[in-house]
Amino acid sequence: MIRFWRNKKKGQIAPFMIAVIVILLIALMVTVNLGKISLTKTDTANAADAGALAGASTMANGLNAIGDISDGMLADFIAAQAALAMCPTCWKAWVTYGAHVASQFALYAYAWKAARDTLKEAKKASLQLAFSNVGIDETKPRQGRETYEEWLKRKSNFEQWMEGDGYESGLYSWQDTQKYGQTASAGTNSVTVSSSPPSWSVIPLPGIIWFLGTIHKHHCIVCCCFCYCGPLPTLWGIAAVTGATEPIRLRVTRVEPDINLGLWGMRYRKAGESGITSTSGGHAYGGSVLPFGSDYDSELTEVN
Amino acid sequence: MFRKGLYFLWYSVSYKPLRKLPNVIAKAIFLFFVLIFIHSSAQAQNWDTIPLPNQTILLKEDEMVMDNQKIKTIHCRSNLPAQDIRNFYLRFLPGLGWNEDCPECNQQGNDNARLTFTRGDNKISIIIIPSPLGKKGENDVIIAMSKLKEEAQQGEEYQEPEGKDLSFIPRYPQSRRISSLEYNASQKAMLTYSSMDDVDKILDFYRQNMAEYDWNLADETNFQALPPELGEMQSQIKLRGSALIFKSPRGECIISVFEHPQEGENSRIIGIKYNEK
Repeated sequence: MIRFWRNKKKGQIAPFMIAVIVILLIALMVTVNLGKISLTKTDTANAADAGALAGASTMANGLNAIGDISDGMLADFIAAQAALAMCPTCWKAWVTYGAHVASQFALYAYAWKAARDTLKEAKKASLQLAFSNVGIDETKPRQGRETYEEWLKRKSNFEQWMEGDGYESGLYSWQDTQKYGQTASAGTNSVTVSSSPPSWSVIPLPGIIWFLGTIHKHHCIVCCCFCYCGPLPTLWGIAAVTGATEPIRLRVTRVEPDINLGLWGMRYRKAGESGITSTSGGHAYGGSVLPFGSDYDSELTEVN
Repeated sequence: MFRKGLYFLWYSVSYKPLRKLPNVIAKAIFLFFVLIFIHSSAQAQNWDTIPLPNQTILLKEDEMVMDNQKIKTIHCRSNLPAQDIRNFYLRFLPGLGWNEDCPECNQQGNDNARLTFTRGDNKISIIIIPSPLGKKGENDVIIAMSKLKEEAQQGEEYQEPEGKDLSFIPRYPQSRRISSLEYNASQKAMLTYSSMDDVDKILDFYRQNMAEYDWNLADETNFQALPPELGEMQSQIKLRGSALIFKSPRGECIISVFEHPQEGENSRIIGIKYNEK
C-alpha cells in the first residue's frame, strides 16, 4: 500500500482540476446570464399583463358609466312620455318635449365624449401600471453630504418622472455606472411601453314619443287642428358601443446594458438585439350599454 | 292591527300623568290622534290595478309628481302585436268601469297604438310602441294613470303651476315656471321655465352662478354641433340652443336652454334636469 503511494507521480490531478474549474466558471456565467434574462422576461411580462389589465379595467368602468347614462335616458323617456300622456296644453307639451329631447341630446353627447375620454384614460392607466411593474432598478446615489434619512426621503429620478406623468411618453431610460469592459453608451437601460387601445363608436338608440292631445273640459280633444298629434323622434338611450370588446394591447420592451462578461465575448444581449419584449392584451366583456343591460367586466386575453 | 293601534292610542292617552286630566280632554286628545290617522290614510293614493295582457312582463313601476299631481307609470314589454294589446284593453277596461275617451283620438298605426280611458276624475293613457330594446316584434307598453286636471289654455292669464323649484339650483331671474316633474322615487326631477332673454345670456347666468351652489361645469353641448349620428334627428327637430352639464357630490344637473320648439313662439325655454347620486 505504501509502495503504491510512493510509485504514484505527483501533480497529475492539476490539469483535470483546471478543466473542471473552467467548466464550472462557464456554467456559472451561463446560469447568471440565463437568470438575468429570465428575470427581465418575467418583469416585462408582469408589466405587460398589469398594463393590459389596468387598461381593460378602465375600459370596463367607462362602458359601465355609459350604460348608466343609457339607463337614465330610458327613465327620462318614460317620465316624459307619461307627462305628455297627461294631455298638457299644446304649449306645455312642446316645452316638455323640447326639454326632454334637449337633455337626451346632451346626455348622448356626454356619453360620446365619455367614450373618447375612457380610451385616453385606458391608455394612460395601462402605461402607468406597465412602468410601475417593469422592475426599474435605477440606482439612487447619495448626493453630497446627504444623510441616510435625507436619502430615503428624496425621490428617485424614476419616481419623479412617474409623478410628472412622464409615463405618457412611453419611454424611460437611465444610465448604469460604467463597469469593466463597458463603454459609456453601453450602460444605457431603457423601457419602452406602447399601448394600443381599440377605437369605439357610440351608437344611439332612436325611438318615438307620443303627443296625445290637450285637455279640454276634462277630456282629451282631437288636437291635431291646434297642435301636433302623433309620434315625434327622440332618443331612448344608447344602443351599443362598437369595438367595446376589442382588446387593448400592450408591448413592453426592456433593453439592458450591453455588458461584456469578459469570457469569450459573452454578453447579456448580442449587438443589434432590441432587448426583451413581452406583449399582452386585455378586454372588457360580458356587458351591454343598452338600458337595463348587464355590467362589463375585464380580463386578460392575449398573453405572450 | 287597526284595533291594536286604537288600543295603543287609548292606552297612551290614559297614561298616568294624563289620567289626571279631565275625561273630556283625554277623549279630545284621543280623537285628535284618530283624525290624524284617518287623514294620513286618506292622503295615500290608492291606484287601480290595471290588468296586463298575456305574454307581457312588467319592467318598472314608478310614481311621478307633476305640478303637485301624482301620476303612476307602468312600463312593460309584450310579445303580442300592438293590435292585440289594444284590443285587450278595449275589451277589458270598460268592464272595470273605464270609458274610452275620445275614440277618434285613439289612433292605431301599423305597429303602434294609443288609448285613453276615463272613469270619473281618473284617467289612464296607454301607449304601445315597438320596442327598440327587445327582440323584433316585441312592443313596449307605457301606462300612465292620474286624476284629470284642467289646465289654463294658451291666451288665458298666466298662473304659475303648482310645484316647487329646486332649492340647490338657482332659478333664472324673471323666468316663468312651466312645469315641475319628479320621478324615479323623487331621485330625478325635470323643471321647465320660459324667459324672453337670449340663450347666451341665460347660459352665462348658469355658468356664473352654479358654482355658488357647489356645481362644477363638466360638459357643454351646442345643439348645432352634435355628434354626426344625431344629424338626421336634429334636422327634424331643429333644436337651437345649448346644454350645460354640471356635477357635484349631490348628483348631476343638465341645464338646457333652447328656442321654443313650436313654430311662431318667441321665447326661450330653460330645462333643468336633476339626477340625485
